[in-house]
Amino acid sequence: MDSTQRSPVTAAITACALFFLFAPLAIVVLFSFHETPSLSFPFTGFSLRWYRQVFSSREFVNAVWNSLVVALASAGATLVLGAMAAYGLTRVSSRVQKPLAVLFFLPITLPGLFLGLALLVFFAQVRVPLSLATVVIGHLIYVFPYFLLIAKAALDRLDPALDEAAADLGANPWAVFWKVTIPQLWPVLAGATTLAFALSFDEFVITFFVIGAESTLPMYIWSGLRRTIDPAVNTVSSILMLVTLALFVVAFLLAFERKELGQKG
Amino acid sequence: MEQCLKTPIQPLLTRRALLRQSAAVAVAAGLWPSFRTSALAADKVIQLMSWEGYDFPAPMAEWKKANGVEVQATYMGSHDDIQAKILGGGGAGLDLITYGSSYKQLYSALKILKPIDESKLPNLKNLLPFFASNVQNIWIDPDGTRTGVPCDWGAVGISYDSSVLKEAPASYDILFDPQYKGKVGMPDDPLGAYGQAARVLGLSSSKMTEDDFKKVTNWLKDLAKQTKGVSASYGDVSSRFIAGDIVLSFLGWAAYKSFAAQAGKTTINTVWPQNGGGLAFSNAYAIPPGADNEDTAYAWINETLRPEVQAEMAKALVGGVVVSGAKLDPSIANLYPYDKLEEFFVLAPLQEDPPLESDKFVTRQRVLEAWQEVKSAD
Amino acid sequence: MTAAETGISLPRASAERLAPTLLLMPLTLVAIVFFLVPLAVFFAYSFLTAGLFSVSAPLTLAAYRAAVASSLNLTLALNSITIGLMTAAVCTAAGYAIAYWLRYRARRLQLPVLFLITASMLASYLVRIYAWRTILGTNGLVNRSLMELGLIEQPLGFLLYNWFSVVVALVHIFLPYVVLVMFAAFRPLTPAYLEAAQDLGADAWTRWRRVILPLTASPAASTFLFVFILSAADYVTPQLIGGTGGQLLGVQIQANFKAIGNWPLGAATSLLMLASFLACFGVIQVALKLLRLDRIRWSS
Repeated sequence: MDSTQRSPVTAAITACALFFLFAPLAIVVLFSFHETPSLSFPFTGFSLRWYRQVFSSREFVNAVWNSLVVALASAGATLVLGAMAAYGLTRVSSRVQKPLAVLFFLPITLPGLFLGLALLVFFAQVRVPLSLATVVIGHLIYVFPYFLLIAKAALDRLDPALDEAAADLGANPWAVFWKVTIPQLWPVLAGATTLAFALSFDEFVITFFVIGAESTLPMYIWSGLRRTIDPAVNTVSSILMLVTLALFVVAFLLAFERKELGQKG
Repeated sequence: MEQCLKTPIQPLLTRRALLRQSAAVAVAAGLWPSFRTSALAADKVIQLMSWEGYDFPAPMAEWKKANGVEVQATYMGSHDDIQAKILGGGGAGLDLITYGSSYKQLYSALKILKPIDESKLPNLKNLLPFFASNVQNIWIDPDGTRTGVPCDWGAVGISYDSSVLKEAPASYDILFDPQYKGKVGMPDDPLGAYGQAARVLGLSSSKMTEDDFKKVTNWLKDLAKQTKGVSASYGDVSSRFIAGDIVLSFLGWAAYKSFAAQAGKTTINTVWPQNGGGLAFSNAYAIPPGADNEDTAYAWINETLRPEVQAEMAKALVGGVVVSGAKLDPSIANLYPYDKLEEFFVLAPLQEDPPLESDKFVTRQRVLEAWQEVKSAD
Repeated sequence: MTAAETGISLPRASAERLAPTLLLMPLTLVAIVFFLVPLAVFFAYSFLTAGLFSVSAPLTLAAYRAAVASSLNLTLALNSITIGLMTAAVCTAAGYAIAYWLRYRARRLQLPVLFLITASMLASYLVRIYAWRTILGTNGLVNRSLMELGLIEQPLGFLLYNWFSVVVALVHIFLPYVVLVMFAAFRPLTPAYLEAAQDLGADAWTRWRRVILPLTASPAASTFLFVFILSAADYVTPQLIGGTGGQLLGVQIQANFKAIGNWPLGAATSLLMLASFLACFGVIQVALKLLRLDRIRWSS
């Protein structure tokens, strides 16, 4: 089996999968330019009317602003807490590491429905009013395991000899962290934080339960879907897709570097 | 998932290029606030939660500008979002809500309607007699305390696509016609569905015995089998009409005509067959317990009772006006028979809901639970 | 810089031991307070007495009895299991095929295709569900195309608002995850393994059965379970495109909290669901152990 062999079946499946994955997204974007309010074929013509309508909508602007604020807060908190924890996990004894690792990665295994409901019930019980702050908490719980996975994987790849060399030269653990570890890690951390931001920006399943009177962009889309659906929803969705795609490009390029960490001076 | 992240991939960005690009993003981010609506002084901001459109951006625009008022509206997907929010702790700062006529009982029991001081609402005198009255204690409690101010109304019957059905339906039986299987629509409105279904069967959903309840539930289950699933909302039914997925709808709302027309489909009409008639609903403004800006809320409500504003509101919502003296736009003037309003409300009375607690009749909770079964009827 | 100059009073070894634990504490605290505690409260709610959007103290098993006795729950649970299994099966099968192609056949196309697949993952969740209405509807893309091509005369009605559209939408959502995990599972399998097997006389089927399958069984099983669990618990897809036959248990749970107001019943149903997921996880672990597929570990 050499590399010039063909596998038409798997190639065909991959091609079909790509088409399957992108056709709906392309249709969403296509209809965001539809000149009539109809969302069915035939497609009659192009127009920017929905974009004009959406950008002049106060609710849309508010929802975007709220999403930005929440995503920034969630990503920021994830970065701080997650970076510290990832570093701690790799340096601590395995007796402590094992149960903590289980705790930290448990949220991924739970569907968002239960995360959201548990938080809703908890906040109701301790009488904390629902607001964007509770949304940030919900997003933090949802997002930090992904951050940890990436950060920890990167930390595991670091060459411990560098840390030891720095320590031998007299640097305290704090200095080792700032002057040796961070310079090697920051692209991955930046990428993971961007991913955290993107995940939070698009989050709906948990937000649905823990949000207060304000609206985030996915909630705005949801309420749009429950009304008479016109292409304005497609417009908002296209904008949302564009933003998360751009963020993802940045995250992808930052977090998955090939160069050997630990070799840069 | 951990394994996939060890994939080695060539970096396409150098550190320098990334820094340059980040700076550009930071500058753009700094400009964002200028797009944001300016925050006014806190006491002139009303937090409103209601159906979409009930913040009346156009009809109230002038008044808001003249009085420096800003409205931050949260739109609900279902009426239950309101009590879920308030009871779930999210009601702090919420100044204004609306409640449908059928939700009065529940909201009174949940104690989320503050008594309304009529002296702060001089325009109450504009209300049509029907809406000023104490009908079904929807807006005024038996002891005379006002809890809500009507702001609109509408009625549901059967909606149909006149390009497919040449004659208007004369009876609800048409919904079960085999030739329309899969082409019937129904929104996710359990109390409305039970209300209208009960009326068709000559019963009242607020006074159902076990047998009545079983009859109505089975009728609804059979109806659900005629659909391709209960729509998530009234708006969704409208979308399905427009897309051609349905040609008939139970709980047919007169406003579909306008929504569909905007999308190019002018053939959706609504009728109220004599057998069973229909149901009316009316939304009323109310002030929830967490309100911290009551005076502005009162001013708002008062303004919505002006005939000129009501005419604009009704046009926006494709609904009815609750005050006298309003000049109706032609697009909505013929939706409802204003000259025979009292009679109409006999044909399509305001929806009444099952009691919260009762020994004799089936309760609201049981209806809501049974509705979940209706939605999955196959 | 000498140790004296940095001003550390503790011996270096102790400082090294202390710092990581301190670094771990904030996130541990957050995870406990906002994850474990809420789950515990949620668990506790299933044993309380239901009020209208509230709970009261008397402990009772009424919620569990109601959850188990409900025929609606049974129907929805069966739907969830079937639809969950179908989604997981399609995703895993397609994931295998795509990962295989990416690993062994893609060459220069590997990075772009991988990027595309992962990028589609970040298109908004809601968008990806309702987009299918425009495709599968009576006047949607599929029907219109088939009619234009003259293949059908009447639009196909069975494409939308039933279990089929739910599975399609869920596969659309989870396929990228599965491809990523399967690709990572294939990474350690260098072509040399398969070439060696071929040299030893194994045909394609045997290579798959004796080499690929055992080495990828563990990640494939966990990804299958992951997709199954998330699909079964989905509450958005059924509401938008599920029709009457495609309703899932997650919708009922969320309705209990939002519309009906019976929180203990919602909590009890959730916990029963979680318990069954745990049971599935256990079954898979046992199966892997019995088939001796769990011992394979990669040194990377």
